[in-house]
Amino acid sequence: MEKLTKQTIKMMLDKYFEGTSTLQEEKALRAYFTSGQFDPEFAEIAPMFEYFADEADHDHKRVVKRQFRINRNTTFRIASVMAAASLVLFTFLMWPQQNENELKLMINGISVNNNELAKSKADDQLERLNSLMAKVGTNVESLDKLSKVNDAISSLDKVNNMLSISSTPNNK
Amino acid sequence: MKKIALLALIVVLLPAALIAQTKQINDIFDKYEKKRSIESITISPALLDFMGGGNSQETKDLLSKITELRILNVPNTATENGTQIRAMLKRDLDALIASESFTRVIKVDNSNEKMEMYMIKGNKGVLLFMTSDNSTFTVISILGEIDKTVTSAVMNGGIKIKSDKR
Repeated sequence: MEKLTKQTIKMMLDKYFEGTSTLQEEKALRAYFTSGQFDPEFAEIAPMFEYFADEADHDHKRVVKRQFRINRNTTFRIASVMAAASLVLFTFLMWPQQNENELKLMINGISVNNNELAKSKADDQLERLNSLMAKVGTNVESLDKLSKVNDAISSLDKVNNMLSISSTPNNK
Repeated sequence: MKKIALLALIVVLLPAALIAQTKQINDIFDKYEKKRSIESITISPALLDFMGGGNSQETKDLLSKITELRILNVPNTATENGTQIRAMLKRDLDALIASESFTRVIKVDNSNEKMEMYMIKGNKGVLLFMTSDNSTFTVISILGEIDKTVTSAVMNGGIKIKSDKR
């Protein structure tokens, strides 16, 4: 930036206070006064321009903040659209499962349209599963019984201990 | 910004992750049901019942949690390119069980009958049964909201096909 003469500054200040200065001149004045190397003659006016420069800086920050808010809003909008899209995709993927026929039988890779046969075959397999589960249940019951017997034995042990303690003085 | 992008990514991928195990099970069933000598049955919960359940609210609640039951029945004699289909299916299931961290709940080894029960709890959970004997290998999968009530009902109540009301 070229160095402004005292005379030019005076002229620009006159125009500024008359309200006829251009934006460029106002910018030059702000730069001159905020540089800190101004003529002592303008010391009274300098704080005013420093204040304006501060305000201009705040304005800039406000613009940046607003831009950030706009950016953030855009990101949230994109995230919302993506979430909605994923929900639609999820529903689409799950929907066919719920709309499928109640019963479907395939033998040798060929679809067989015989519900009774399908039910009968499914029943056979589930009965086989239930019978195995019943065996598991029986074993669990046995374990329960065993644990009950164990509890009973430990109670008897306690009674035995108490009896042996109480019978000790009589032996002496 | 990165956090928001990560959050958006999670929101997009979460449903896919939730249905992953269900999809993989269904993929295996879809793959094997097309093969020769294999029987496959798919049943919706509307046709299911629990032993002694009837029309009680408890049974309705349990069945509302189940989305589908699938059965795959593979005879030991079924082969493809000289390999037992049963062995191929077992290998695929073992790989799935390992990759999706299924929990083994029960293993029964009763002379010539064997049964293994695996599960993944959750809204899109799976109860997987593998039973085998000298002649067949059967896989049963129950898909849906698998929680303690469903697991114990299947283990104690005996799941069955609803009898026709005539």
